[in-house]
Amino acid sequence: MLLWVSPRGPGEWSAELATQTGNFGTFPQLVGEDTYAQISPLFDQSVEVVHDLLGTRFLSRFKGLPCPFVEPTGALSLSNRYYPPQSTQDQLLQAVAPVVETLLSQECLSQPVRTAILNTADRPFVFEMDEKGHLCFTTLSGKRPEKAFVNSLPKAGTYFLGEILSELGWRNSDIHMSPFSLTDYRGRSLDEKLSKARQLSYPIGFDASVQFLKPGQFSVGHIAFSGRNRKLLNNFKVLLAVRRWRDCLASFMYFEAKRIALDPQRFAAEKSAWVSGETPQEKFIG
Amino acid sequence: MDGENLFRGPCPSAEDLKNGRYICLVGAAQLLGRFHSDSFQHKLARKFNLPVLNLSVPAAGPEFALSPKLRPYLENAQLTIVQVMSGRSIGYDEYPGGWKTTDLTTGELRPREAVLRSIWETDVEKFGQVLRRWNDN
Repeated sequence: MLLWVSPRGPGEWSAELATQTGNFGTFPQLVGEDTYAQISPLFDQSVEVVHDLLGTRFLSRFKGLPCPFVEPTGALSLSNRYYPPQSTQDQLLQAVAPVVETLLSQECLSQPVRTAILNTADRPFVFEMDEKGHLCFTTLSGKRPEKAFVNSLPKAGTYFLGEILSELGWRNSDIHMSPFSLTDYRGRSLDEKLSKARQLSYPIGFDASVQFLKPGQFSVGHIAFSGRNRKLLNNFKVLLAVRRWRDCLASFMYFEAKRIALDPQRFAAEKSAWVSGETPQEKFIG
Repeated sequence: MDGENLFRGPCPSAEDLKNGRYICLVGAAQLLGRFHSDSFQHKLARKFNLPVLNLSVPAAGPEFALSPKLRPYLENAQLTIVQVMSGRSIGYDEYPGGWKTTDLTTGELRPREAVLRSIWETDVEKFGQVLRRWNDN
């Protein structure tokens, strides 16, 4: 598939225009309708995305304050007016997705996924089904023969270890397991994981959820020791992640402040002291 | 990493690469997702539950997609998305190279756009000829 991504359409620049005015066009410079018409027939499909060029301001992920970046010239800049803004990333997906879907199905390359619905107390949870009809979180597995589980203190590097497991050949199930519930992060962005954690939680306890993992997959969670839990993880590669309590607590404070900002209804009224403070420290102490 | 360029991860697993179970992106900084943590690459991977191999690099020109090191990955993918890249990042016999080329009047290595502008400012007719040959390439 050929993809045009630019603040202008292919027809808005031509060699004649450049000869008359010295205007080489915005990105992709020196490419106009003629060239585009010559190359697009070489592809099965072509998609054009014309985006705006509103300056994107960069904010610190830690403090939310303006954050400069270094230009190729060495100068510091606070906003970008050359590269597409974040909205273009969504615009691209919106424009491309129907064509990608068609092309994948034409080639009969995507395998249909069989699913099953489990009606939990408040809403349905969707499982996939493997070739034998067994329920699982995903039918896709890594090359490793074992199942794996990252058991950690919160903010002790749970997902960092998860990334290492992915590199080593396990596939992330994207399910966060807790003693009495699970959080379904399948197909969710980082922002959604933070802002929708409550909505993505299902009352499926650890003793049930851990059984839906397949060999070559892993999950993460914060599971206390018990004889039963040890038995449930008997055939797993278990990675235990611990960190200094103070560091966990400090990290958790910022993490929770961020989640509350994105989802103010996160805590019930009786715990509203969490959200009434001005600073993350005040919110946390309550 | 292909020995010359650094690419944006995550990389599909060796098994997925071998079985062609991935979508391949080839382009410049726009498809690299410069300045965006949740870029088009990540959104596409989530939407189709398929790994995405992103072979985009800043300032890449049209010739980049034809690199013999990259071609096997493009050809083996379930689907390859190629971005229309900038004409200022491709050369031809008189002005070879990527986004920088040798200014024939000074012998200096300069951004191609600056070289073109100099030609336009000094000789519009020659500029027209250069541009036509460039576009033909």
